[in-house]
Amino acid sequence: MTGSFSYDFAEEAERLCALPVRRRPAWGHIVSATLIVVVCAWIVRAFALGQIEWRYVGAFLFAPSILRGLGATLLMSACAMALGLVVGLGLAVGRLSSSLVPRWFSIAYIWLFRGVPVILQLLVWFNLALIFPHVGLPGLGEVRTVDVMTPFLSALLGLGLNQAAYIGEILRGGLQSIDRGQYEAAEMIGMTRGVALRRIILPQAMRVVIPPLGNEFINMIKLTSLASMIQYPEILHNAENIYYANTRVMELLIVAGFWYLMAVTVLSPLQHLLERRVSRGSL
Amino acid sequence: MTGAPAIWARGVAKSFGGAPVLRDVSFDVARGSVVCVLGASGSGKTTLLRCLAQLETPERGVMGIEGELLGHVERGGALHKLPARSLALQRLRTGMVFQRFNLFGHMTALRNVMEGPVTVQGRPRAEVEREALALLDKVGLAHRAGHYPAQLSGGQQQRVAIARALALRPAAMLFDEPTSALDPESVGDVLAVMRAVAESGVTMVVVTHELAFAREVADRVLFMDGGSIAEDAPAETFFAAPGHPASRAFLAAALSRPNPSETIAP
Repeated sequence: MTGSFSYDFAEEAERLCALPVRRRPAWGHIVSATLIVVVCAWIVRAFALGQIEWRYVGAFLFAPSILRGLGATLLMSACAMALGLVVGLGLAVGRLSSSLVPRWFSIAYIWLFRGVPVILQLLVWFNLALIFPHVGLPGLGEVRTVDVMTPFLSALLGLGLNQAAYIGEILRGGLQSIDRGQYEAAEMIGMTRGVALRRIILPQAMRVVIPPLGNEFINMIKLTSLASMIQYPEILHNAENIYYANTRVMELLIVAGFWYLMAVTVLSPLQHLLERRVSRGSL
Repeated sequence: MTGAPAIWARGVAKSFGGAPVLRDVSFDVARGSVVCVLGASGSGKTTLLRCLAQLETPERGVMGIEGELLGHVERGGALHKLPARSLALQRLRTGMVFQRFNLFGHMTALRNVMEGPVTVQGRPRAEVEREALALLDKVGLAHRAGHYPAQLSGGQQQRVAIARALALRPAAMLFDEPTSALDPESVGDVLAVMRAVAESGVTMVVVTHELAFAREVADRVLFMDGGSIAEDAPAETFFAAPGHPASRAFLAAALSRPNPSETIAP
Protein backbone atom coordinates (compact mmCIF):
# COMPACT_ATOMS: atom_id res chain seq x y z
CA MET A 1 0.00 0.00 0.00
CA THR A 2 2.29 2.72 -1.24
CA GLY A 3 -0.64 5.12 -1.52
CA SER A 4 -0.65 5.83 2.20
CA PHE A 5 2.84 7.41 2.05
CA SER A 6 3.37 11.06 1.22
CA TYR A 7 6.00 10.15 -1.41
CA ASP A 8 6.30 7.14 -3.69
CA PHE A 9 8.01 4.74 -1.30
CA ALA A 10 8.26 1.95 -3.88
CA GLU A 11 10.60 4.12 -5.97
CA GLU A 12 12.69 5.05 -2.93
CA ALA A 13 12.99 1.38 -1.86
CA GLU A 14 14.04 0.42 -5.38
CA ARG A 15 16.72 3.11 -5.37
CA LEU A 16 18.06 1.84 -2.00
CA CYS A 17 18.13 -1.75 -3.24
CA ALA A 18 20.20 -0.75 -6.25
CA LEU A 19 22.94 0.85 -4.11
CA PRO A 20 26.16 -1.21 -3.82
CA VAL A 21 27.12 -2.43 -0.33
CA ARG A 22 30.69 -1.50 0.64
CA ARG A 23 32.58 -3.10 3.49
CA ARG A 24 34.52 -1.00 5.92
CA PRO A 25 38.26 -1.60 5.48
CA ALA A 26 39.44 -3.97 8.25
CA TRP A 27 42.23 -1.77 9.64
CA GLY A 28 42.30 -3.72 12.91
CA HIS A 29 42.98 -6.99 11.09
CA ILE A 30 45.70 -5.50 8.92
CA VAL A 31 47.53 -3.87 11.84
CA SER A 32 47.31 -6.87 14.18
CA ALA A 33 48.32 -9.38 11.48
CA THR A 34 51.35 -7.26 10.58
CA LEU A 35 52.37 -7.04 14.25
CA ILE A 36 52.05 -10.80 14.76
CA VAL A 37 54.10 -11.57 11.63
CA VAL A 38 56.84 -9.12 12.71
CA VAL A 39 57.06 -10.56 16.24
CA CYS A 40 57.11 -14.16 14.94
CA ALA A 41 59.81 -13.30 12.40
CA TRP A 42 61.87 -11.75 15.20
CA ILE A 43 61.55 -14.86 17.40
CA VAL A 44 62.40 -17.21 14.52
CA ARG A 45 65.41 -15.04 13.70
CA ALA A 46 66.56 -15.10 17.33
CA PHE A 47 66.38 -18.89 17.40
CA ALA A 48 68.10 -19.19 14.01
CA LEU A 49 70.98 -16.89 15.00
CA GLY A 50 71.12 -18.03 18.67
CA GLN A 51 73.37 -20.62 20.22
CA ILE A 52 71.49 -23.47 18.59
CA GLU A 53 73.23 -26.13 16.57
CA TRP A 54 70.35 -27.24 14.37
CA ARG A 55 72.21 -30.33 13.22
CA TYR A 56 71.91 -31.67 16.79
CA VAL A 57 68.17 -31.22 16.57
CA GLY A 58 68.16 -33.24 13.35
CA ALA A 59 70.49 -35.86 14.76
CA PHE A 60 68.43 -36.53 17.90
CA LEU A 61 64.93 -36.08 16.44
CA PHE A 62 64.70 -39.81 15.65
CA ALA A 63 67.20 -41.07 18.21
CA PRO A 64 66.07 -44.47 19.62
CA SER A 65 66.00 -43.17 23.19
CA ILE A 66 63.80 -40.22 22.16
CA LEU A 67 61.40 -42.48 20.25
CA ARG A 68 61.26 -44.89 23.22
CA GLY A 69 60.45 -41.85 25.35
CA LEU A 70 57.65 -40.90 22.96
CA GLY A 71 56.24 -44.43 23.26
CA ALA A 72 56.43 -44.24 27.07
CA THR A 73 54.70 -40.84 27.04
CA LEU A 74 51.85 -42.10 24.87
CA LEU A 75 51.51 -45.32 26.90
CA MET A 76 51.39 -43.40 30.19
CA SER A 77 48.90 -40.85 28.80
CA ALA A 78 46.55 -43.61 27.63
CA CYS A 79 46.83 -45.68 30.84
CA ALA A 80 46.48 -42.71 33.22
CA MET A 81 43.56 -41.38 31.19
CA ALA A 82 41.86 -44.81 31.26
CA LEU A 83 42.33 -45.04 35.03
CA GLY A 84 41.05 -41.47 35.37
CA LEU A 85 37.95 -42.27 33.31
CA VAL A 86 37.05 -45.39 35.31
CA VAL A 87 37.59 -43.80 38.73
CA GLY A 88 36.10 -40.51 37.51
CA LEU A 89 32.89 -42.22 36.40
CA GLY A 90 32.60 -43.79 39.84
CA LEU A 91 33.13 -40.37 41.44
CA ALA A 92 30.52 -38.71 39.21
CA VAL A 93 27.91 -41.38 39.93
CA GLY A 94 28.78 -41.29 43.64
CA ARG A 95 28.57 -37.50 43.72
CA LEU A 96 25.04 -37.65 42.29
CA SER A 97 23.95 -40.58 44.44
CA SER A 98 21.07 -40.07 46.81
CA SER A 99 22.86 -41.92 49.61
CA LEU A 100 25.21 -40.09 51.90
CA VAL A 101 28.31 -42.31 51.92
CA PRO A 102 29.16 -42.32 48.19
CA ARG A 103 28.29 -38.63 47.90
CA TRP A 104 30.60 -37.54 50.70
CA PHE A 105 33.35 -39.92 49.62
CA SER A 106 33.32 -38.33 46.15
CA ILE A 107 33.30 -34.81 47.53
CA ALA A 108 36.23 -35.56 49.86
CA TYR A 109 38.20 -37.34 47.11
CA ILE A 110 37.78 -34.47 44.64
CA TRP A 111 38.66 -31.93 47.34
CA LEU A 112 41.88 -33.78 48.24
CA PHE A 113 43.15 -34.70 44.79
CA ARG A 114 42.34 -31.34 43.20
CA GLY A 115 43.81 -29.48 46.12
CA VAL A 116 47.32 -30.98 46.12
CA PRO A 117 49.84 -30.32 43.30
CA VAL A 118 50.29 -33.24 40.91
CA ILE A 119 54.06 -33.21 41.27
CA LEU A 120 53.65 -33.63 45.03
CA GLN A 121 51.23 -36.54 44.51
CA LEU A 122 53.74 -38.22 42.18
CA LEU A 123 56.47 -37.89 44.80
CA VAL A 124 54.18 -39.31 47.51
CA TRP A 125 53.36 -42.41 45.44
CA PHE A 126 57.00 -42.87 44.48
CA ASN A 127 58.07 -42.69 48.13
CA LEU A 128 55.15 -44.67 49.53
CA ALA A 129 57.57 -47.19 51.02
CA LEU A 130 58.40 -44.59 53.68
CA ILE A 131 54.90 -45.03 55.14
CA PHE A 132 54.03 -48.57 54.07
CA PRO A 133 57.27 -50.57 53.88
CA HIS A 134 55.33 -53.68 52.86
CA VAL A 135 52.13 -54.11 50.90
CA GLY A 136 50.02 -57.22 50.49
CA LEU A 137 46.82 -58.96 51.35
CA PRO A 138 46.54 -61.05 54.52
CA GLY A 139 47.01 -64.69 53.56
CA LEU A 140 48.35 -63.89 50.11
CA GLY A 141 51.79 -62.86 51.27
CA GLU A 142 53.53 -59.51 51.29
CA VAL A 143 56.06 -57.73 49.10
CA ARG A 144 58.36 -54.82 49.72
CA THR A 145 56.72 -51.58 48.57
CA VAL A 146 59.90 -50.33 46.88
CA ASP A 147 59.78 -53.36 44.57
CA VAL A 148 56.17 -52.66 43.56
CA MET A 149 56.21 -48.87 43.33
CA THR A 150 58.12 -48.71 40.09
CA PRO A 151 58.30 -45.35 38.31
CA PHE A 152 55.59 -46.65 35.95
CA LEU A 153 53.11 -47.58 38.70
CA SER A 154 53.85 -44.43 40.72
CA ALA A 155 53.28 -42.25 37.66
CA LEU A 156 50.14 -44.17 36.71
CA LEU A 157 48.60 -43.80 40.18
CA GLY A 158 49.76 -40.22 40.62
CA LEU A 159 48.55 -38.97 37.24
CA GLY A 160 45.50 -41.24 36.91
CA LEU A 161 44.03 -40.68 40.37
CA ASN A 162 44.60 -36.94 40.11
CA GLN A 163 43.00 -36.92 36.67
CA ALA A 164 40.01 -38.86 38.07
CA ALA A 165 39.07 -35.89 40.26
CA TYR A 166 38.85 -33.59 37.24
CA ILE A 167 37.15 -36.15 35.01
CA GLY A 168 34.67 -36.87 37.81
CA GLU A 169 33.58 -33.24 37.78
CA ILE A 170 33.35 -33.17 33.97
CA LEU A 171 31.25 -36.34 33.91
CA ARG A 172 29.04 -35.05 36.71
CA GLY A 173 28.30 -31.98 34.61
CA GLY A 174 27.54 -34.24 31.64
CA LEU A 175 25.19 -36.47 33.63
CA GLN A 176 23.41 -33.46 35.11
CA SER A 177 22.90 -31.95 31.66
CA ILE A 178 20.58 -34.83 30.73
CA ASP A 179 16.90 -34.12 31.30
CA ARG A 180 15.27 -35.95 34.24
CA GLY A 181 12.64 -37.18 31.80
CA GLN A 182 15.26 -39.42 30.17
CA TYR A 183 15.87 -41.22 33.50
CA GLU A 184 12.13 -41.56 34.08
CA ALA A 185 11.47 -42.88 30.58
CA ALA A 186 14.29 -45.41 31.04
CA GLU A 187 12.83 -46.49 34.40
CA MET A 188 9.38 -46.87 32.85
CA ILE A 189 10.67 -49.37 30.27
CA GLY A 190 11.97 -51.46 33.16
CA MET A 191 15.60 -50.40 33.28
CA THR A 192 17.56 -50.44 36.52
CA ARG A 193 19.75 -47.43 37.34
CA GLY A 194 22.89 -49.09 36.01
CA VAL A 195 21.36 -50.10 32.68
CA ALA A 196 19.74 -46.68 32.26
CA LEU A 197 23.10 -45.03 32.89
CA ARG A 198 24.89 -47.22 30.35
CA ARG A 199 22.24 -47.31 27.61
CA ILE A 200 20.44 -43.97 27.88
CA ILE A 201 22.23 -41.38 29.98
CA LEU A 202 25.95 -41.83 29.25
CA PRO A 203 25.60 -42.00 25.44
CA GLN A 204 23.77 -38.67 25.50
CA ALA A 205 26.11 -37.12 28.07
CA MET A 206 29.03 -37.99 25.74
CA ARG A 207 28.01 -35.13 23.46
CA VAL A 208 28.62 -32.70 26.30
CA VAL A 209 31.73 -34.27 27.84
CA ILE A 210 33.84 -35.17 24.78
CA PRO A 211 35.21 -31.64 24.19
CA PRO A 212 36.40 -31.14 27.80
CA LEU A 213 37.65 -34.76 27.96
CA GLY A 214 39.68 -34.20 24.78
CA ASN A 215 41.13 -31.17 26.49
CA GLU A 216 42.04 -33.31 29.52
CA PHE A 217 43.74 -35.90 27.30
CA ILE A 218 45.85 -33.20 25.64
CA ASN A 219 46.74 -31.89 29.09
CA MET A 220 47.64 -35.40 30.20
CA ILE A 221 50.14 -35.87 27.36
CA LYS A 222 52.02 -32.81 28.58
CA LEU A 223 51.48 -33.66 32.25
CA THR A 224 53.37 -36.94 31.82
CA SER A 225 56.53 -34.81 31.54
CA LEU A 226 56.25 -34.36 35.33
CA ALA A 227 56.87 -38.10 35.70
CA SER A 228 60.45 -37.40 34.57
CA MET A 229 60.94 -36.28 38.20
CA ILE A 230 60.37 -39.83 39.44
CA GLN A 231 62.57 -41.51 36.85
CA TYR A 232 59.78 -42.53 34.46
CA PRO A 233 61.58 -42.71 31.09
CA GLU A 234 59.28 -40.50 29.00
CA ILE A 235 60.41 -38.02 26.33
CA LEU A 236 61.56 -35.19 28.56
CA HIS A 237 63.37 -37.54 30.93
CA ASN A 238 65.29 -39.14 28.08
CA ALA A 239 66.01 -35.78 26.44
CA GLU A 240 67.42 -34.52 29.77
CA ASN A 241 69.63 -37.58 30.08
CA ILE A 242 71.08 -36.80 26.67
CA TYR A 243 71.76 -33.13 27.39
CA TYR A 244 73.32 -33.94 30.77
CA ALA A 245 75.90 -35.82 28.67
CA ASN A 246 76.35 -33.51 25.67
CA THR A 247 75.15 -30.13 27.11
CA ARG A 248 73.03 -29.37 23.99
CA VAL A 249 70.17 -28.26 26.25
CA MET A 250 68.12 -26.09 23.90
CA GLU A 251 68.49 -28.52 20.98
CA LEU A 252 67.11 -31.44 22.97
CA LEU A 253 64.31 -29.35 24.46
CA ILE A 254 63.31 -28.48 20.88
CA VAL A 255 63.37 -32.20 20.00
CA ALA A 256 61.16 -33.03 23.00
CA GLY A 257 58.85 -30.10 22.29
CA PHE A 258 58.48 -31.21 18.68
CA TRP A 259 57.21 -34.66 19.73
CA TYR A 260 54.76 -33.32 22.35
CA LEU A 261 53.44 -30.98 19.68
CA MET A 262 53.10 -33.84 17.19
CA ALA A 263 51.22 -36.04 19.67
CA VAL A 264 48.77 -33.25 20.41
CA THR A 265 48.40 -32.39 16.72
CA VAL A 266 47.40 -35.96 15.86
CA LEU A 267 44.93 -36.04 18.75
CA SER A 268 42.89 -32.99 17.79
CA PRO A 269 41.35 -34.41 14.56
CA LEU A 270 40.65 -37.66 16.44
CA GLN A 271 38.67 -35.67 18.99
CA HIS A 272 36.76 -33.98 16.18
CA LEU A 273 35.87 -37.39 14.68
CA LEU A 274 34.70 -38.66 18.06
CA GLU A 275 32.56 -35.55 18.57
CA ARG A 276 30.82 -36.15 15.26
CA ARG A 277 30.26 -39.79 16.12
CA VAL A 278 28.56 -39.09 19.47
CA SER A 279 26.42 -36.22 18.21
CA ARG A 280 24.08 -38.52 16.30
CA GLY A 281 20.46 -37.52 16.74
CA SER A 282 21.15 -33.83 17.34
CA LEU A 283 20.30 -31.30 14.69
CA MET B 1 -17.62 -55.07 38.16
CA THR B 2 -16.66 -58.57 39.19
CA GLY B 3 -13.30 -59.84 40.40
CA ALA B 4 -10.31 -57.76 41.43
CA PRO B 5 -9.86 -54.44 39.66
CA ALA B 6 -6.93 -54.04 37.23
CA ILE B 7 -5.66 -51.06 39.20
CA TRP B 8 -6.63 -49.99 42.70
CA ALA B 9 -5.53 -47.53 45.35
CA ARG B 10 -6.50 -47.15 49.02
CA GLY B 11 -5.68 -44.22 51.25
CA VAL B 12 -2.83 -42.88 49.13
CA ALA B 13 -1.26 -39.71 50.54
CA LYS B 14 1.75 -37.71 49.41
CA SER B 15 3.16 -34.29 50.21
CA PHE B 16 5.99 -32.22 48.80
CA GLY B 17 7.94 -30.18 51.31
CA GLY B 18 5.17 -30.39 53.88
CA ALA B 19 2.45 -29.31 51.44
CA PRO B 20 -0.04 -32.14 50.93
CA VAL B 21 -0.56 -33.00 47.24
CA LEU B 22 -2.62 -36.18 47.66
CA ARG B 23 -4.87 -36.79 50.67
CA ASP B 24 -6.39 -40.19 51.23
CA VAL B 25 -7.00 -41.12 47.57
CA SER B 26 -8.84 -44.38 46.86
CA PHE B 27 -10.23 -45.72 43.59
CA ASP B 28 -10.62 -48.80 41.39
CA VAL B 29 -10.04 -49.18 37.65
CA ALA B 30 -11.79 -52.13 35.99
CA ARG B 31 -9.79 -54.28 33.58
CA GLY B 32 -9.97 -52.94 30.02
CA SER B 33 -11.65 -49.71 31.00
CA VAL B 34 -10.55 -46.15 30.34
CA VAL B 35 -10.44 -43.74 33.27
CA CYS B 36 -9.82 -40.04 32.70
CA VAL B 37 -8.48 -38.02 35.60
CA LEU B 38 -9.71 -34.44 35.36
CA GLY B 39 -9.18 -31.41 37.55
CA ALA B 40 -7.54 -28.02 37.75
CA SER B 41 -3.76 -27.61 37.66
CA GLY B 42 -2.28 -28.43 41.04
CA SER B 43 -5.13 -30.70 42.07
CA GLY B 44 -2.79 -33.70 42.27
CA LYS B 45 -3.70 -35.51 39.02
CA THR B 46 -0.14 -35.88 37.75
CA THR B 47 1.23 -36.87 41.17
CA LEU B 48 -1.42 -39.57 41.42
CA LEU B 49 -0.39 -40.93 38.01
CA ARG B 50 3.30 -40.76 38.92
CA CYS B 51 2.56 -42.76 42.08
CA LEU B 52 0.92 -45.44 39.92
CA ALA B 53 4.03 -45.38 37.69
CA GLN B 54 6.20 -45.61 40.84
CA LEU B 55 8.09 -42.51 39.85
CA GLU B 56 6.91 -41.10 43.19
CA THR B 57 6.59 -43.04 46.44
CA PRO B 58 3.40 -42.36 48.40
CA GLU B 59 3.88 -41.63 52.09
CA ARG B 60 0.80 -43.62 53.04
CA GLY B 61 -1.57 -45.96 51.31
CA VAL B 62 -1.40 -49.07 49.18
CA MET B 63 -1.77 -49.49 45.43
CA GLY B 64 -2.04 -52.57 43.28
CA ILE B 65 -1.98 -53.55 39.65
CA GLU B 66 -3.08 -56.86 38.14
CA GLY B 67 -2.89 -58.79 41.39
CA GLU B 68 0.46 -57.35 42.50
CA LEU B 69 1.11 -54.79 45.20
CA LEU B 70 2.91 -51.76 43.82
CA GLY B 71 6.41 -51.38 45.22
CA HIS B 72 5.84 -53.82 48.07
CA VAL B 73 5.65 -57.49 48.78
CA GLU B 74 3.69 -59.10 51.63
CA ARG B 75 5.83 -61.32 53.81
CA GLY B 76 5.33 -62.49 57.40
CA GLY B 77 2.38 -60.25 58.14
CA ALA B 78 4.09 -57.07 56.93
CA LEU B 79 4.70 -55.16 53.72
CA HIS B 80 8.33 -54.98 52.61
CA LYS B 81 9.74 -52.56 50.04
CA LEU B 82 10.73 -54.29 46.80
CA PRO B 83 14.42 -54.27 45.86
CA ALA B 84 15.36 -52.07 42.88
CA ARG B 85 15.53 -54.99 40.45
CA SER B 86 12.01 -56.26 41.24
CA LEU B 87 10.73 -52.71 41.13
CA ALA B 88 12.16 -52.32 37.62
CA LEU B 89 10.48 -55.53 36.52
CA GLN B 90 7.18 -54.38 38.01
CA ARG B 91 7.38 -51.13 36.04
CA LEU B 92 7.21 -53.22 32.85
CA ARG B 93 3.54 -53.81 33.62
CA THR B 94 2.69 -50.13 33.28
CA GLY B 95 3.42 -48.21 30.10
CA MET B 96 3.90 -44.49 30.69
CA VAL B 97 3.35 -41.68 28.19
CA PHE B 98 4.84 -38.38 29.33
CA GLN B 99 3.71 -34.84 28.65
CA ARG B 100 7.16 -34.06 27.22
CA PHE B 101 7.46 -37.39 25.27
CA ASN B 102 10.94 -38.16 26.71
CA LEU B 103 12.06 -40.17 23.68
CA PHE B 104 15.70 -41.26 23.87
CA GLY B 105 17.42 -38.56 21.84
CA HIS B 106 20.34 -40.67 20.61
CA MET B 107 18.13 -43.40 19.13
CA THR B 108 15.95 -43.50 16.03
CA ALA B 109 12.19 -43.92 16.40
CA LEU B 110 12.55 -47.64 15.68
CA ARG B 111 15.36 -48.11 18.23
CA ASN B 112 13.31 -46.21 20.83
CA VAL B 113 10.50 -48.73 20.40
CA MET B 114 12.89 -51.72 20.38
CA GLU B 115 15.02 -50.68 23.37
CA GLY B 116 12.77 -52.07 26.12
CA PRO B 117 11.97 -55.46 24.58
CA VAL B 118 15.58 -56.06 23.46
CA THR B 119 17.64 -54.64 26.34
CA VAL B 120 15.30 -55.23 29.28
CA GLN B 121 13.28 -58.28 28.24
CA GLY B 122 16.07 -59.86 26.22
CA ARG B 123 13.80 -60.85 23.35
CA PRO B 124 15.29 -61.73 19.93
CA ARG B 125 16.13 -58.60 17.95
CA ALA B 126 14.64 -59.70 14.60
CA GLU B 127 11.28 -60.57 16.14
CA VAL B 128 11.21 -57.32 18.14
CA GLU B 129 12.08 -55.29 15.05
CA ARG B 130 9.15 -56.79 13.11
CA GLU B 131 6.82 -55.99 15.99
CA ALA B 132 8.21 -52.49 16.46
CA LEU B 133 7.72 -51.70 12.78
CA ALA B 134 4.13 -52.99 13.02
CA LEU B 135 3.57 -50.74 16.07
CA LEU B 136 5.04 -47.72 14.29
CA ASP B 137 2.74 -48.50 11.38
CA LYS B 138 -0.21 -48.62 13.78
CA VAL B 139 0.58 -45.11 15.04
CA GLY B 140 1.04 -43.97 11.42
CA LEU B 141 4.80 -43.49 11.53
CA ALA B 142 6.29 -46.49 9.70
CA HIS B 143 7.84 -44.04 7.24
CA ARG B 144 9.63 -42.23 10.09
CA ALA B 145 11.21 -45.34 11.65
CA GLY B 146 14.76 -44.18 10.83
CA HIS B 147 14.29 -40.63 12.10
CA TYR B 148 15.76 -39.29 15.33
CA PRO B 149 13.39 -37.56 17.80
CA ALA B 150 14.84 -34.13 16.96
CA GLN B 151 13.72 -34.72 13.35
CA LEU B 152 10.11 -35.42 14.36
CA SER B 153 7.30 -33.02 15.28
CA GLY B 154 5.89 -33.08 18.80
CA GLY B 155 2.86 -35.06 17.73
CA GLN B 156 5.02 -37.61 15.92
CA GLN B 157 7.31 -37.95 18.95
CA GLN B 158 4.32 -38.55 21.19
CA ARG B 159 3.00 -41.28 18.88
CA VAL B 160 6.43 -42.95 18.89
CA ALA B 161 6.37 -42.71 22.70
CA ILE B 162 3.02 -44.51 22.76
CA ALA B 163 4.44 -47.23 20.50
CA ARG B 164 7.49 -47.51 22.79
CA ALA B 165 5.24 -48.08 25.81
CA LEU B 166 3.02 -50.58 23.95
CA ALA B 167 6.03 -52.59 22.77
CA LEU B 168 6.44 -53.98 26.30
CA ARG B 169 2.84 -55.28 26.24
CA PRO B 170 1.93 -53.53 29.49
CA ALA B 171 -1.12 -54.50 31.52
CA ALA B 172 -2.05 -50.82 31.79
CA MET B 173 -1.16 -47.60 30.02
CA LEU B 174 -0.73 -44.37 31.95
CA PHE B 175 -0.95 -41.04 30.10
CA ASP B 176 0.26 -37.83 31.75
CA GLU B 177 -1.33 -34.92 29.85
CA PRO B 178 -0.16 -36.45 26.57
CA THR B 179 -1.41 -33.59 24.36
CA SER B 180 -0.61 -30.59 26.58
CA ALA B 181 2.77 -29.88 24.96
CA LEU B 182 1.51 -30.25 21.38
CA ASP B 183 0.54 -27.73 18.74
CA PRO B 184 -3.20 -27.88 17.95
CA GLU B 185 -2.73 -29.68 14.60
CA SER B 186 -0.94 -32.64 16.24
CA VAL B 187 -3.41 -33.13 19.09
CA GLY B 188 -5.96 -34.90 16.88
CA ASP B 189 -3.40 -37.46 15.61
CA VAL B 190 -2.33 -38.38 19.13
CA LEU B 191 -5.92 -38.61 20.42
CA ALA B 192 -6.79 -40.87 17.46
CA VAL B 193 -3.96 -43.24 18.43
CA MET B 194 -5.11 -43.21 22.07
CA ARG B 195 -8.66 -43.99 20.94
CA ALA B 196 -7.32 -47.01 19.01
CA VAL B 197 -5.36 -48.17 22.07
CA ALA B 198 -8.52 -47.88 24.19
CA GLU B 199 -10.50 -49.92 21.65
CA SER B 200 -7.85 -52.67 21.74
CA GLY B 201 -8.90 -53.31 25.35
CA VAL B 202 -5.85 -52.04 27.24
CA THR B 203 -6.64 -50.59 30.68
CA MET B 204 -5.92 -46.86 30.53
CA VAL B 205 -5.57 -44.08 33.08
CA VAL B 206 -5.42 -40.71 31.32
CA VAL B 207 -4.65 -37.41 33.00
CA THR B 208 -5.92 -34.84 30.53
CA HIS B 209 -7.46 -31.48 29.85
CA GLU B 210 -9.13 -32.76 26.65
CA LEU B 211 -12.75 -32.80 27.79
CA ALA B 212 -14.08 -33.90 24.39
CA PHE B 213 -11.76 -36.90 24.46
CA ALA B 214 -12.77 -37.77 28.03
CA ARG B 215 -16.46 -37.51 27.18
CA GLU B 216 -16.07 -39.71 24.11
CA VAL B 217 -13.58 -42.37 25.24
CA ALA B 218 -13.63 -42.57 29.06
CA ASP B 219 -15.70 -45.12 30.92
CA ARG B 220 -15.23 -43.31 34.19
CA VAL B 221 -14.04 -39.90 35.28
CA LEU B 222 -12.06 -39.21 38.44
CA PHE B 223 -12.40 -35.54 39.25
CA MET B 224 -9.68 -34.27 41.57
CA ASP B 225 -9.83 -31.18 43.70
CA GLY B 226 -7.23 -30.12 46.28
CA GLY B 227 -5.52 -33.52 46.37
CA SER B 228 -8.66 -35.60 46.87
CA ILE B 229 -11.03 -37.32 44.50
CA ALA B 230 -14.05 -35.04 44.60
CA GLU B 231 -16.09 -37.15 42.22
CA ASP B 232 -15.75 -40.67 40.82
CA ALA B 233 -18.51 -41.25 38.29
CA PRO B 234 -19.31 -42.86 34.95
CA ALA B 235 -18.31 -40.45 32.18
CA GLU B 236 -21.88 -39.86 30.93
CA THR B 237 -23.05 -39.01 34.45
CA PHE B 238 -20.10 -36.75 35.10
CA PHE B 239 -20.63 -34.67 31.96
CA ALA B 240 -24.45 -34.72 32.01
CA ALA B 241 -24.96 -34.12 35.71
CA PRO B 242 -21.76 -33.43 37.70
CA GLY B 243 -22.47 -34.25 41.32
CA HIS B 244 -19.87 -32.18 43.18
CA PRO B 245 -19.85 -28.36 43.33
CA ALA B 246 -16.16 -28.35 42.31
CA SER B 247 -16.91 -30.51 39.22
CA ARG B 248 -19.76 -28.21 38.24
CA ALA B 249 -17.53 -25.13 38.59
CA PHE B 250 -14.74 -26.83 36.62
CA LEU B 251 -17.01 -27.89 33.76
CA ALA B 252 -18.73 -24.50 33.63
CA ALA B 253 -15.35 -22.72 33.46
CA ALA B 254 -13.99 -25.16 30.86
CA LEU B 255 -17.02 -24.76 28.61
CA SER B 256 -16.99 -20.96 28.80
CA ARG B 257 -13.27 -20.99 27.86
CA PRO B 258 -13.28 -23.41 24.97
CA ASN B 259 -10.21 -25.51 24.35
CA PRO B 260 -8.77 -24.47 20.97
CA SER B 261 -8.31 -28.02 19.74
CA GLU B 262 -11.98 -28.75 20.35
CA THR B 263 -13.38 -25.68 18.65
CA ILE B 264 -11.06 -25.16 15.70
CA ALA B 265 -10.87 -28.78 14.59
CA PRO B 266 -13.61 -29.32 11.95
